[in-house]
Amino acid sequence: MRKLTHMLPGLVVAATVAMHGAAQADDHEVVIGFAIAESGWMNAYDGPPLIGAMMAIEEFNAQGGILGKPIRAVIADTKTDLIQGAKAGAEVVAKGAHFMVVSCDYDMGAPAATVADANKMIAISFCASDAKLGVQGIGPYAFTMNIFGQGEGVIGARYAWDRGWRKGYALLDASGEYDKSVCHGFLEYWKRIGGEVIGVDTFMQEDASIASQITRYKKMAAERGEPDVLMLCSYNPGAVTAIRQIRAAGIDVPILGGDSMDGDYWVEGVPGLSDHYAVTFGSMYGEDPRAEVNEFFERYRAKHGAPDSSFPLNGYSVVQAIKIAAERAGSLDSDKVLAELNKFDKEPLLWGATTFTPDVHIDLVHPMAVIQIQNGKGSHAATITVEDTVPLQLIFPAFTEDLY
Amino acid sequence: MTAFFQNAIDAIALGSLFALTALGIGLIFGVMRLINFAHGDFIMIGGYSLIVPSSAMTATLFIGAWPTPFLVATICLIIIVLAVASERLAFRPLRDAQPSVLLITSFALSFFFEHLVIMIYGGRPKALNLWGGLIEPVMVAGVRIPALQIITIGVTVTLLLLLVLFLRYTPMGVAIRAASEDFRMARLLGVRANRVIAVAFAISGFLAAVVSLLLVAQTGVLSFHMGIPLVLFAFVATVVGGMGSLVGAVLGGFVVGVSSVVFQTVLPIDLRPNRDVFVYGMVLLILLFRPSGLVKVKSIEEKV
Repeated sequence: MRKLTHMLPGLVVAATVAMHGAAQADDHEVVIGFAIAESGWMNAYDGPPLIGAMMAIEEFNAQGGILGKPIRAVIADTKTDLIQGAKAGAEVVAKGAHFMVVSCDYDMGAPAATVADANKMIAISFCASDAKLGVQGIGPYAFTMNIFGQGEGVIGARYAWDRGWRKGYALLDASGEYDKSVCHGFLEYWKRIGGEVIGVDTFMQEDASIASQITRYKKMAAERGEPDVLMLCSYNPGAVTAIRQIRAAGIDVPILGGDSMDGDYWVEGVPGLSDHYAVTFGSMYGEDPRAEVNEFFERYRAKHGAPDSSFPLNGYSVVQAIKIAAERAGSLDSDKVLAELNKFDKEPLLWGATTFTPDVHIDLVHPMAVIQIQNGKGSHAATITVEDTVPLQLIFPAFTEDLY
Repeated sequence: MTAFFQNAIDAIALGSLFALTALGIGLIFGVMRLINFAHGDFIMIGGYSLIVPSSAMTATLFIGAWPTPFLVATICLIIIVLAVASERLAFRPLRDAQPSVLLITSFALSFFFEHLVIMIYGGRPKALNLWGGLIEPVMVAGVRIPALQIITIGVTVTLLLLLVLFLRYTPMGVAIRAASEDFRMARLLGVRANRVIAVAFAISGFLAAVVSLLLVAQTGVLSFHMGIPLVLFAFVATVVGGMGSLVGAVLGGFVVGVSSVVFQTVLPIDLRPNRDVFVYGMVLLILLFRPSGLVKVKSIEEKV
C-alpha cells in the first residue's frame, strides 16, 4: 500500500508525459537516461556502475556508437528517495531518452522503472537483485543486470559448504527486499545441501545498536555451539555498524555477505577486519579468472583511479546489452529491442554470460566471485556457478513463508 | 540470569542515548515551545566534524584523531556555536511567529544543514573508526559488557545530575525553569529572554555533541541522515514523558529505549522486524491513559 501511494505522483506524472508525448526522441543520437541516486546511501551502489556505464558509452562512441549514432547520457538524481525516484524517471523520459537505466535496488529503482514501463520504455536496473524488478513486479519492459538475490545467498552457501563449514547462523536486516532475498536463498539452499541452521535473528538498517541481537547470539552459542559461518543479509551503512559490533563482541566467526558488501571502502568502520566474504560480480583486484574483467579494471584504474567495488562491470554491461539488442533489432524501437533482449541466451556481456527470457528478466544462473577481506584488505577467494539453484517459484515467494 | 542482566544493560544503554537526545529537544521545547527538528543535524554535523572535509569515499580522521580531551572539547564547542548561531539567525527573527512557522523553520534548517553536508562531504555514507577500543567488552560482575555501553550510561547519569544541579542552584538555571513555566511572566520579572534562550540552545548543542560522539563510536559510520532515527524516537519520548518537563523527557527516553530492547528480545522472530509497531503501540496506550504524558506540566496541560 505504501509503495502504491508513493508511486501515485510518479504514475500521474508518467501518464501526463505519455499523454503529451515524450519529447520526440531525437533520431540523430541514442539517449540513455539514468534515473539513479547521486546522493544518499544508494549512491554507494549506483555511483560505481554509472562510471562503468560512462566508460562503455565513451568506448562505444569511439567505435561509432549504436547503429552509427552517438550515445548521449542524461542523468536525473533520485536522491535515494522513492518519490524523487519517480520524478527522476519522468524527467529522463521528458528529456527524450530512448532507454532508461534505474537504481541498483528493487525498492529504490521501482518508481523510475514503473514510469518507464508506463511509457513503453525499456528500463534496466544496474544490479537490482530482486526478480520483482522485472516482468512480474514492474512490467514487460523492466530488466535487471544481476543474478536474483536468492542466488547470491545460494552461492554464499555453496562457498561456505566447500570451505567445510556446516553450522550456519543468519542475521537479517529486515529493512529491504534485497536482504530478505539473500537470506532466503542462503537458508533454503543451505538446508537442502545438508547444512545446519542453529539460529536466525533480525535487525533494522537504522538501529544504532544490535546489542540485544548479540546477547541472543551468545546465549545460542552457549547452548548449541558457535556457528561456523554467519550470514549477514544487509547493506551499508547499517551492515558496517552490525559487523563492527559483532567483531567487537569477540565473535570472530566468518561473515558472509551479498554484493552490497563488495569492496573495501567500508572496512575503516571495522578496523583489522578478517574473514569477511562477499558474493559479488567479479574481482577488481586484478586476479579475476576472466581476462576481460582484469583488462576492464586496468582501463578503469587508468581513468578513474582505484575502483571501490566490482559494480562498474554491471554498468558497462547494461550499455553493452542495449547496444547489442538495438543493433540486432536494427532499430531503437522499444518493442523490437525488447524482443532481442528477451532472446539473450548466455550472451557474453562483460559481467558474465547473461540469459533473459520473455518471462524472466533477471539472470538465474551466473558465475559470481567471492571476495574476501583479510586484515582489512580485499582479494579474490573463488568464482562459483551454481546450476542447481533454487526453484523458480521460490524466486517469487510470499515472503511470509516460514523458513525459520 | 546473565542474559537478563545483559539485556538490562542493553536496554538502559539504548535508553540513555534516547534520553540524552530527548533532553536536548525537551530543553528547547520547554523554553520556546519549539520542536527543533534540526537537533538531529546538530548530531550529524558533530560526527562529520571529526573528519577532513572532502567528498572522497573514505574518511580521513581530522579532529577525530586528536587526543580525547581536545577532541571532545572541540566537537562540543563546534556544536554549541552552531546551535547558538542557529537560534540567533534562524529562530530569533521569528520569535513571535506562530509555533507552526517555527516548526517549518526548524525543518528548513535541517534541510539546509543536510544539503550543506552533502555538498562538502558527498552524499555517500562513510565508515570511520572512533575510539575503536571502547566497543570491546569488559568484565562486570562476571558478564561481558561493551565498555561503550557503560560509558553511555555513566555519561548520561553524570550529565543529568549536572543539569539538575545547574537548573536548581544557579541563577541562569532558575531563569530557564521560570521561562519554561511562564515565559511572559518571567520576562516581566526581569529574566532576559534572549540570554535564557541562547543558553538553552547552548546546552542543547552540548548534549547533541555528546550524543554524536557516542553514536559515531557505536556505529562506525557517518551519513547525512544519521541523526533522524534518534530524533524521531526522541521526539516521541518527549511526548510520552510529558512535553515541557525535562524529567519527563529523560523518562520518556528511557521508556522508549527500554521498550525497544524488550520487544526486540521478547518478540517471536516473525514479529521482530515489526518491533517498532509494538513500541509505538505502547506509546499510544500510554497517551490514551495519560494524554499529557507521564509527567504533567501545569502550564502545558489543557484546561477545559
